[in-house]
Amino acid sequence: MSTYLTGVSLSQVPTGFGGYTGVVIQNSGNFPVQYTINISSTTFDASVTPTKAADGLLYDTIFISDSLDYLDPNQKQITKVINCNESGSFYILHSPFRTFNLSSDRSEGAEYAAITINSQSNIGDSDSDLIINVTGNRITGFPIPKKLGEFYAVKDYSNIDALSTTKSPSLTFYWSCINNLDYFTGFKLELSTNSSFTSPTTDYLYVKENSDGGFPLYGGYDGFNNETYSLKKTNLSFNQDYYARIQAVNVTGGTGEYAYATGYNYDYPILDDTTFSGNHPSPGENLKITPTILYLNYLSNAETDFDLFDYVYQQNGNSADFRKYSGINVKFSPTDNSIGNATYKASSTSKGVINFIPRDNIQMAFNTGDGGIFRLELEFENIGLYGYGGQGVDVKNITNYSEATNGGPIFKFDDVKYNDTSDSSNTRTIQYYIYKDLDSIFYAGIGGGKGLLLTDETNKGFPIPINGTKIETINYINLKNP
Amino acid sequence: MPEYKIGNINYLSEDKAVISDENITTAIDIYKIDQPPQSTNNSTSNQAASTKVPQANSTTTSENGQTLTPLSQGIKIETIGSDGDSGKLTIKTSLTSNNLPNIYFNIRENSFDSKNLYFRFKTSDIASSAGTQTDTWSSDTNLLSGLSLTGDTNCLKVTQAYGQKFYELISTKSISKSNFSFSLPQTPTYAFLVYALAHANVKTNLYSSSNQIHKFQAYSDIGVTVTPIYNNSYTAASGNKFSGGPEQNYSVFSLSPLLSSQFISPYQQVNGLNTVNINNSTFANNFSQWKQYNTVQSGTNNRTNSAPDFTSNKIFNLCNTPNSLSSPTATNTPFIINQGGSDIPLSTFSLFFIEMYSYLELPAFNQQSNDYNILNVVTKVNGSTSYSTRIFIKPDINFSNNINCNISIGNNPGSDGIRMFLFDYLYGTSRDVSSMNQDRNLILESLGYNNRKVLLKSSTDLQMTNATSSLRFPAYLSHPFLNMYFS
Repeated sequence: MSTYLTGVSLSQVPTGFGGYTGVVIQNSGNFPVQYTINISSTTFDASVTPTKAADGLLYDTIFISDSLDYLDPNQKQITKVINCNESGSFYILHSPFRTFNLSSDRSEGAEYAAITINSQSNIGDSDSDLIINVTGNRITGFPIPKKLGEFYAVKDYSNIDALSTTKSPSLTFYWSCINNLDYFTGFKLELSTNSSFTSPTTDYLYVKENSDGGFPLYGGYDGFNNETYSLKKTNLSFNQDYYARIQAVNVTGGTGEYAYATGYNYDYPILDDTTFSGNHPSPGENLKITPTILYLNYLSNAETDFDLFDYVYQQNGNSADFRKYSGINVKFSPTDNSIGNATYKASSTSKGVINFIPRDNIQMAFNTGDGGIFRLELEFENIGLYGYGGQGVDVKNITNYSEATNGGPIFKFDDVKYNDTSDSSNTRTIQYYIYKDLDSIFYAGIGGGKGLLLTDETNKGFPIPINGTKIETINYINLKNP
Repeated sequence: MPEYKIGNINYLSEDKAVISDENITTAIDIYKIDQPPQSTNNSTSNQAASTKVPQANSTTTSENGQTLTPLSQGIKIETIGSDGDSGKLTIKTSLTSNNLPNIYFNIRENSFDSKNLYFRFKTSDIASSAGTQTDTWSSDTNLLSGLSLTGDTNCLKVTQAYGQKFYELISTKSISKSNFSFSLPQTPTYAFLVYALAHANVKTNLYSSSNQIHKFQAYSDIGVTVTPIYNNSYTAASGNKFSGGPEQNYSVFSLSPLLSSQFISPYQQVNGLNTVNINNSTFANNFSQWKQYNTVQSGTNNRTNSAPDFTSNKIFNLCNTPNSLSSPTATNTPFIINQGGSDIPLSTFSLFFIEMYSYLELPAFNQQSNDYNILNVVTKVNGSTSYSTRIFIKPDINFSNNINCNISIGNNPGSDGIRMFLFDYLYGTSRDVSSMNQDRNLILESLGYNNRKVLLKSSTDLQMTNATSSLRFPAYLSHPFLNMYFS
């Protein structure tokens, strides 16, 4: 066995953390070889002696393992069979001695172990043992943490419903350690309502200590790689600018470089390279949470006195609490497009064809978007809206008659204003937006017509009264216009 | 429930009123609006807002420009009461306030797939600023690269109104394309032209100086000098066809050879195909008989081509649409354009969506002319059929692939101050009549949406109410494309 390396000095590892290096064994021979890897007990320089150790106990701090994720501290031997021209590997793990008797005993120093690799060919011959002398370097200082990556926020509307006590949106932050040899014990997340991060709200999240004695106190032997952390910030406000940044924090409170957040509206986003590497420039993305529009499609060939309020109430889970929305968009179209326009009518002049009248006994609440309004958008595609016609003059005689009545409206909308108790300085208002395609028709109910009285002046007969017409449907020709 | 057809004014796609039988014991006529003065013999309407009837024993009286005569001696007719109003846009029944809600209006977004278009000239992509002049209107290069309509230097001027850009075609100029060639499809074809006629003053007749908007010319009749087909003013005058020619004051807009799968020259249009024996002097009469009995006449007048149906088009003056909440009763709010200088008010601005299409069908088996296909040609103006005709053509007729196309304001350019503005011009084809109807509908919807700012005279959603006022959209002040009537 050719020997390329007989001694290895591991990188400096702060007390409480871990480090590792990998060892590759290459079988360059012509036959499979069984390698037996043994490690000695750990020895220490003068910095660690039984008198300086808690309870006088020394223990191994350098190990061998097939895995970075699993370690048996008592495993002293690994056996590997490697075919010719193939290779195998194992890891040398180091978790510096950390149980000093007194804090004053805590010191830097070197820790040693010897790894012996015995090789035995399957045809019987053997090579001389390879001995690797391992030196672990324990340090007492705590390096400045490195920049974190994959830092993003997901906007969360899920708590904003009528049944929840929380009526405000949330931001859930996610981030990861993306660097090796990064030694930290926590994170400092700052959320600011301005891009200068003046007076941010600050949250600390600390790394959980390992309870498994075989592992370092913090993280694994490979540090914090592939660990994902999250923190949820609740009780936030809609339409508020938010910026976030995060640092890793070490044992002594030292902080590393900032990473700035990117925002997403959905879980499990695919991160771009900038966000992945933590290189989103300051101040990061504005994480403003805007209420969404509730999109609804209503299909019907015929309706009478369509109750729009009741429809959106039902579509919102029998709730008039629309505080997670800044608007509702309802598209009206026929169930069957082959019929041409759907026909929507009113049943009386007091009814609109489309009615949006909130109920006295149902508290209505909603959010607002840009401009501070709630948009109720109605889109009509192939819909005919026909108001109800007024009654014509009812003629008894020249002096005894009932006047014609006015026609009914197409749209009967309430002027809804709402004072949010959590935002009493603002009165929130609904505005209505009506969009029609060219095929859709809007006809108001026509007013009732005049009556007539026919009198035969020659024969002095009884006059003949003719009532004014009652228009059941639409006669746009006679709309009374200015 | 009887239905009464009202007028022939093409006011909307279906001009009818439906009146209940209830409470009506006497025959009721429907008063025709926009018609010559009516007498009481046919206009005792209890629907008209201000129609009055004469007193007994009176001979005649004049009311609202109408001459009224009594139904008979001794019969006195009195109107009782007054008309009711049409339904308001909104009714306030507020729980929390006494204000009207804010309501805004716009046209629903629509688009279409342009893959079946042969060319498409549009103005929605104009990048130049208002006032810029050019002489070329280029088609969408994704459809047919290089096709453009060109005229004299600076014949087109970029115009902006309500945030939308379009071209003014200088009234003395035209834009055209000569001898452009393409394979005429055998499938149904359609074309759209969106343009406006305008005048600085209120103008009730725009057609006298604008009767040759859309002109196509081709030379399928070798050796025959043909006159071009003008698409805005052409009528089949009775009697001698050759003395008729394009006439003024008719707004007909169709019969483009571009639309036919087999090209029909003006000569052929007037005289029938060269295989048809036609008596020129009785052309119109034979046409009417053909129409009446739905069959061709025997003898020398056999197999005549039908002359077009003509329907006058109404001017829909967008200037009459109020655009201000502060003056909702305004009857004439000028249409404001800008061409790089100060704003220019136009008191007449009439926007036309011209839809032309044609398709071939086989004749009914019992018609004598079943050796011929029937070419159906239809023109719609602002959604209403303005012109339709059926032409017999031989299946094996020669046709030309070389077309001359010309757009101009008319045969009397520059007169009377009429101005013309161009918005969209496109031509396409569909695989069958059914799909063509769907395509046309989508295109029309899309063109309406693209030109919504001009239609509404607003660069944003049009505000129709605020806390205290309601902007009215009365029937006779609205462009028919809006199809909405309330006060």
